[in-house]
Amino acid sequence: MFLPAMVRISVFAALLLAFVPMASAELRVDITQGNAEPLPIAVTDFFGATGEDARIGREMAAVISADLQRSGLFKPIDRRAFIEGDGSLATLPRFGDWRIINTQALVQGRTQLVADGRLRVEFRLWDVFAEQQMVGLAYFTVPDNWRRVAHIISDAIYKRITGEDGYFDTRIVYIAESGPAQRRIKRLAIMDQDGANHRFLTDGSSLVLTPRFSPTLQEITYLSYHGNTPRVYIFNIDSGRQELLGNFPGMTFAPRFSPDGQKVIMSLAQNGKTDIHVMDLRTRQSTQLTRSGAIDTSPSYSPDAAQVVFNSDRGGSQQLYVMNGDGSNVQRISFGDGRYATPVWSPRGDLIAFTKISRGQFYIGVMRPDGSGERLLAEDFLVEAPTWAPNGRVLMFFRQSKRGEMVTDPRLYSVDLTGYNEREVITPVGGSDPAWSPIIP
Amino acid sequence: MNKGLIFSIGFHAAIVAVAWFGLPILSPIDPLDETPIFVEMVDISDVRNAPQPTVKPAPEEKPPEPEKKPEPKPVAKAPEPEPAPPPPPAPEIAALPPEPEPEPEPAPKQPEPAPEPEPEPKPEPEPVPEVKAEPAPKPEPKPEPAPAPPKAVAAVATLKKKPTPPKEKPEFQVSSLLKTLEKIKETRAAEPEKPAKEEPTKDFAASIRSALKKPNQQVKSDLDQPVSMTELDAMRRKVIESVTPCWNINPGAKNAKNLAVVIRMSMNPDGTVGAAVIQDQNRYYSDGFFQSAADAAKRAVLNPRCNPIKLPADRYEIWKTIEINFDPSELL
Repeated sequence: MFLPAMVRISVFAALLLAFVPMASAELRVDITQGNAEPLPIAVTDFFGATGEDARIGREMAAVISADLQRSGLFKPIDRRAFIEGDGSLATLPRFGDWRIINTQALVQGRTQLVADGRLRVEFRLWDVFAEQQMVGLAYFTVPDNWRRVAHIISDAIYKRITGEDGYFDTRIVYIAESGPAQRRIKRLAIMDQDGANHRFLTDGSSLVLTPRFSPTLQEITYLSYHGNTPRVYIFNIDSGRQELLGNFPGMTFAPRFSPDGQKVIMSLAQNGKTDIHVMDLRTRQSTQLTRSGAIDTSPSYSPDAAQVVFNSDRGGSQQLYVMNGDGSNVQRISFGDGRYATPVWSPRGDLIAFTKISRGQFYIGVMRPDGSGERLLAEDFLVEAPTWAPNGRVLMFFRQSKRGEMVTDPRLYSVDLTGYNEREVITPVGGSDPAWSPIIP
Repeated sequence: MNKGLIFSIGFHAAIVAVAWFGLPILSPIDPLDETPIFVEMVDISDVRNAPQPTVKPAPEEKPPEPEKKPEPKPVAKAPEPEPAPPPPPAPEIAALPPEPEPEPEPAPKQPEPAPEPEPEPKPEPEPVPEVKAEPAPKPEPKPEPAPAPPKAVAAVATLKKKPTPPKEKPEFQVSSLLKTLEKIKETRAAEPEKPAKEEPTKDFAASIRSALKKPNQQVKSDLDQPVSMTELDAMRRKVIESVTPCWNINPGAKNAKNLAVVIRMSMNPDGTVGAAVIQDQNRYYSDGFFQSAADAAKRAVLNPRCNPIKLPADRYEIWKTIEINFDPSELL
């Protein structure tokens, strides 16, 4: 009895010793400087066994590659540099070949039309240095839907590498402007965020302005001069139905949905004053939030709906203010040089985007909700109407430049939060007042 | 009488009570809020002495004076470029050797000039070359006492000051890449069985062979030799210089402030990274932001553009394991 106990203790001691870490010297280093360069990524054509499969696979790879490149965080490698061709996913990639051309991430995929007529898409994202799979997923869809699946795959890659949700499977509504300046035709138009699947939603017979997406439904609220009275309408994308929102005595404008999509917050001009009202879409009851006697407009909810940012000239010049969701505790947040307008709260909550007018120039900028950390991201003769991508990393706005005496047609642009990655969003005609959709459910 | 007794008892009781419970603390004592400053005194000659054994016998013989001269010089000079903080004195000392002014100033004066950061006083540093110039007559030719104090100061200074690595951005040129690629493709076609993976092993074998050719004492890593802060600092800077160009941060990330990642690397003797392990595995699998930050840090150390890290081979025992803390909080 006594001996086994001794044995047990000694075994235990031996085990303990085994787990004592080896006393070895070690070099500890802090690295606090880095670079912000796009990640070299290789997107191979998705493998397809038949000609049709391969065609879809090729086009999907092109869409994914373009998505990632536009984000500014990735640098797709020219496929002519590829040493290894499209892998069929049956074997491991030859990582050495990808390292040689300085690839850090590798996307491979496979497309296959299955017996029931559906399309099966599978992809894998590889870490080339670590030689590990980072993510791998498969989707079934109708073949016509391949473009959307490509965007969903781009989102998955973006999320795995940056940690943040992607924004590629989204749409943009905007005001398509065509015709001469005196008789401008303004139509509501919608397209994918990469410009594909473009179509017009209204015929241009009545003027439309400031479209805004519902955060949860595929609905758009906007201002239309239907019957020459500016009013706020709601448009259902799927049914194509347009509906007047509320029956106010004055004109209503600058509408925006609440984060839960159940309310619309907007301005109501009445008796020479403009105040902010909110309407519950279920009960159709409206509540007045501000009573300053000044012009209060462009309200935008914080993502938790606890606060509202808006602009007001109550202090003498147009500035940004933040108040609680019930209209209490109004605080001015913008104190810079110039005027501030069209504030939009980021879907991620950490920033407010705005238009700034200073010394005859327009700027698109962001600041924290307490007014600190103001940064200007874009500048021109006219830049206006910022709208956030659903992940809060990218802004879209429209721009008009001055070439001599001529003012160019409005065009849509996107810029990321760093301010370095500005790109034009190509539209068939001139575009203004863009609004970015949430991630499509 | 009674009164006195009562008083006496009362006071004694009070004294006993004070002794027992201690004096009451009427106001809270503020803790001294002083962060300690670590100062390490390092004897420099003991440290930068990789070729020491050959140096020692030399001073005893008189004839090979010319040989000796170059030897002590590197000993004194080598550390100079590394402790960056006091740049003015460095060029002076370097410029001085050409002047062979025979001053009878002995070593004791040297500690004084060294700590002074003033660049002007020329006469003071002069003794330094002096000592070197006449090592023969002295039994101990090494100028240890002199440089030691400045070294200690310098080491402390570099420690405090964060070394900012030069921001060199290796450029990625598609055109040149394509060109080299065609070559690679050609060679591939010629011998399709040679995967690129073999190259590192070849390099490794070559480095081992070359390492074996070197004299024994150089390859043998001696842990019994003390490592100075200066030396460690130089190695750290080497690591920082090598890895920084490959570390890609995610600009505009929402919570970039607390995304510091620790990577532990086992190094091969040729300076390549054998394995890199992300330290906080729990967080890696539970926090998507951390996961992407950790992967980016791992890519930085595994990137073939940024390794091998050229660290002194005879100190392999010291840098066999390197732990890097990638901290983006100052950047964003």
